[in-house]
Amino acid sequence: MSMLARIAYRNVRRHRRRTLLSGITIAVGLVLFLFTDAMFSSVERGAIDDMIALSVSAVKVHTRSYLAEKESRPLGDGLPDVEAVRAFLARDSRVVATTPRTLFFAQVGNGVEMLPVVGTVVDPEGDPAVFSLPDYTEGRYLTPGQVYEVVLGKSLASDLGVALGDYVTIYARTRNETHNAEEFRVVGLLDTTDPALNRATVVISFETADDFLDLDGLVTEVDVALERPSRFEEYEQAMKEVGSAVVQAFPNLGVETFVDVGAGFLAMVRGKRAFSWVFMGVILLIAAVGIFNSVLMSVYERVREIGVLRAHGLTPREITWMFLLEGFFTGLAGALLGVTVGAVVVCCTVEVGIPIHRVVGQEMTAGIPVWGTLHGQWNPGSFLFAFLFGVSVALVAGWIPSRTAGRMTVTDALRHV
Amino acid sequence: MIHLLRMAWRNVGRNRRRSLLAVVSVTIAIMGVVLLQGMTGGLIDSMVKNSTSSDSGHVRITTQRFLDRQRFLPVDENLMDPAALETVVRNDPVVGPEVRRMVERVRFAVLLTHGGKNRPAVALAGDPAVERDLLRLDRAILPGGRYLAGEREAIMGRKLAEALDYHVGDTLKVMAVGADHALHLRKFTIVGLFESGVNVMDERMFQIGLEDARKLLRMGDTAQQIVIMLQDQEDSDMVAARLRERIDDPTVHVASWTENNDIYRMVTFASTVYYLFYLCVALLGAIIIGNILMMVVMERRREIGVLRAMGFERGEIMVLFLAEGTSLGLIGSVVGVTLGLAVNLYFHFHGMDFSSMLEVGNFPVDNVIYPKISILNTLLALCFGTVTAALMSLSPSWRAARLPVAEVMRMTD
Amino acid sequence: MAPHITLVGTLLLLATATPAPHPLTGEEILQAMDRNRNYDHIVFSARMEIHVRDQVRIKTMEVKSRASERKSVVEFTNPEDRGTRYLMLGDNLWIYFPDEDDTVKISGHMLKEGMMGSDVSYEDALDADVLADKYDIQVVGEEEVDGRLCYVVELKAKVRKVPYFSRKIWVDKTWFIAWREEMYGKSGKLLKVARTLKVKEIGGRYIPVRTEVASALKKNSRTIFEMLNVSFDIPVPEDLFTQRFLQR
Repeated sequence: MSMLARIAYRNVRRHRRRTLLSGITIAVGLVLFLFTDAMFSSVERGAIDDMIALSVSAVKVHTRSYLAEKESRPLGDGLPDVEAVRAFLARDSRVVATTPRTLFFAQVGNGVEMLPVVGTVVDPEGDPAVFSLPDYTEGRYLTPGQVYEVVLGKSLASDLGVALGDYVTIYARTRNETHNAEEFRVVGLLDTTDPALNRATVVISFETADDFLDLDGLVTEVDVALERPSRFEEYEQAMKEVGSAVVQAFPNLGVETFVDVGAGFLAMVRGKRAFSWVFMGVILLIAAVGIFNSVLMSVYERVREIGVLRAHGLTPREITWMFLLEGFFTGLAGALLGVTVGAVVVCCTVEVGIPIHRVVGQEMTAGIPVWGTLHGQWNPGSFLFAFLFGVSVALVAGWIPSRTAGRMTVTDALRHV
Repeated sequence: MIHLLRMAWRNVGRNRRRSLLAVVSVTIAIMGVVLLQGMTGGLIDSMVKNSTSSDSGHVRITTQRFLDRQRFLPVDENLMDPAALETVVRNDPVVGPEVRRMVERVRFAVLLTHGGKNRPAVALAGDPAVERDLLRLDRAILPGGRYLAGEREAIMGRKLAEALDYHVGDTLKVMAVGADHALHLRKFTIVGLFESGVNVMDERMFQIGLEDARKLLRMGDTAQQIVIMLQDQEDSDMVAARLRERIDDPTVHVASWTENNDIYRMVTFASTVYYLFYLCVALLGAIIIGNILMMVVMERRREIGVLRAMGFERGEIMVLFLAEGTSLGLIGSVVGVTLGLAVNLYFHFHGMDFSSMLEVGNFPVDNVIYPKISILNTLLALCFGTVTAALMSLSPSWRAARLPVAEVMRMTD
Repeated sequence: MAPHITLVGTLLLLATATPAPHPLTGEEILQAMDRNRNYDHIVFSARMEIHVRDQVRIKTMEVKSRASERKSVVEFTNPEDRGTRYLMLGDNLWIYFPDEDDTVKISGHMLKEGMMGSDVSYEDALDADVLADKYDIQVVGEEEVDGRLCYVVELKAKVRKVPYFSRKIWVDKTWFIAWREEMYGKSGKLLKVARTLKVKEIGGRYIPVRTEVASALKKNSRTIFEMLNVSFDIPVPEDLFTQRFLQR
């Protein structure tokens, strides 16, 4: 047996070109499989992460009564002790950051018309740790310390016919129900991947709101950013756990997680995942055929050799084993190569990413790479699968002809052309 | 020349196993390419449909003034004679056959009031039968309720119902400002609650029939919007442009979904990503084809030596192998394209239903994909397979033909 | 001090013919304005012109009111709204729709919305602010408005819960009706302007019968309210202000 193995091994090394061709076929197939696998997962993850980072946040904490009434009276129930909640959350190692926010009904106008919106009051310094709005803001984000500045959604601004640097009038009722209106300077335009945000966002700072809305530090929600584990199921679990921990510690508070709010979105994203399986399936099919055929080919090439070996006394079984082993070694080499190169490629996609925006075209994103760079995602399971797949297909591909070859009569084999 | 081609053809037939392997490789690769072409196209179509069916449709007809004030969901900027417009659409020889569905809709803001609570909400009114395919809320109905079946019936988002303490069977009083700028009331029975998973819908929307909306809003025969879904979303721009010509009315605006920058961007991004993947597959296919063709040639290097010894010119040898490679490629591509097309056609008519693969039974997202059939793309795939095979058999044969005869004859590989 | 009702966003004031013997303080001016509304019952027809962008919408109605008790019923007579009735009791509003023969109650924050797209909210209409309780009042001068000499009275909020942070009223020195009122937000920005366009003398009282309220934030956004056939003598029975009667 070991003699056969050695012979097989040396054969493989001797017929370098043939082995290389087969091996490369295997490798290429696997690399492409791993590449698409990494990127498909990333597209899905990117969409979810975007939504969390832009508007929904992993976990949102309100008072229970706020949750019930938020449609009609956003400036109603604030969290009684914001610092306590934030301190409690900070103790959980999964919590990356927390930030307070308050929503208010308002109308935004340009002197001619007023458009109804729901405004958001943020802490300009701490908010970016939870929400990635500044990354999507043309112009600049709110500056801590500056008042009566506003960041508008880009579509909203264009509906109003205002641009960066212009002033808009914001009208709202204060916490005391007093009518108020003031001029705000538009310092930033929000252009995100979420059209609803672009249409309706009006962001001002707490410092401004304390004056403009008589807020007195009223905070109606605390948003929480969590560590992002690689698997979404773990992420989901973390959200639920952090949420229930808060509710247990503070019985008068309620919690909304991304899962509660984004269920439909998740469904859509998962739908695309099923499609990606079909994609992968086709890739695997093509790769399998390629591997199969090239190994097959290389075995048949050497049928005359088989005749010689038979003439020298090797039994059909031994012949079969030898070719099987050759197939195995080739497969092993190809799979190793494929998985290694695949790892390098996936690493590149994870670290550097693919600049999709360059492909899509800058005109459409108006200078901001809205969709920017797609980053890959590591799926260790896929690597294992790819490796085993490559070796198995090569093995099977080596087995079939080797059986036929093994059973050939010596004379037939010698005569084979 | 002819004799070379005949030789090539006979060679192909002679070594059946070898030819078969090559052809099968080409077939599978090209079939895969054609399959994915169709499916990616189908996926993009599905994406467009899901993003537009509840809002802009593929093509939408409204008044220009409605569009200017869209944010306010006005009901007083309507199309005065929608029936006439629909006739124009249907009778147009170019546009008519492209239309899959055409429906009138009204979307308007209302005040709902119940048990001392008031809530602003948005009503969606269209033909309930047609909306089964567009809004698809019939799939999202929670147990205990049902979809719309008659007049004065409404289905409501679950979260909205909870906020107002509404249950199936309750009377829904809907107050709205009509097209006559007066406040009107109409009573409905809630026959079902839906949970679509789309927060905006579940928290502030409810669906009623178009006729009910017309009566409530005193709209008469007017329509707020005419939404058109086409057989092929790629025709949207063309259809919109043509309708603009045919409907020679400056107050009417015909919009293709591509004019909505945000959605267009999202779809373009997604298609780019998928087509990039598809290119990877095509690349893989090319490599596979190339690999096998190269092996075919390399296997026969000694043969090449013999031919050279017999007096064949290098050029003639290359033509020989080129012809062989091309035939193999052509046969393989034809079979591959045929198989791929057959599969695509089957699913084109029956649909690939992905919804069973997911646990997402009641979301109003259309998860059935209809692969796209494109003659152009099919022909391209055919050429792709043939040309790749030809090229890949050219290179090694060229190299082998250049080697000195004796050396080639000595090769054992 | 009897609360005064702002009916559809207009200060409904009556004039006394008594000239003041000494320079009046702000409070006294407002008191004089209030005193002029010592009627119990009022019945009138009204016409509302709502100007929104480039359109005008006309509403006509019959109004019966027991002003001191903050009770009113309104029935619309213009073609689009014909038969719709409003019942206002204190801070509550019920609307009756003849086509469905049913009533809806409006409460809470929806009262703050503009009534039928006008610049006047239900809340403004039902508003029962006691100005002196909520505002610091100061006379800052005298000006002429449409040929009439007026006190210029400035009101600045002294409590937090007020709809308008500050107001400026031009009060006719002789008749004690408001010719002009400006309403400001907390920032000092002008939000609304109310003007009296026509005054009538009825039964010894001076009544602003045509008033205009305009938004200072939106272009072409104003509402004109006109009272016709005003009568104080027609009795307004108590049982008019019940839901049962609303649905008759």
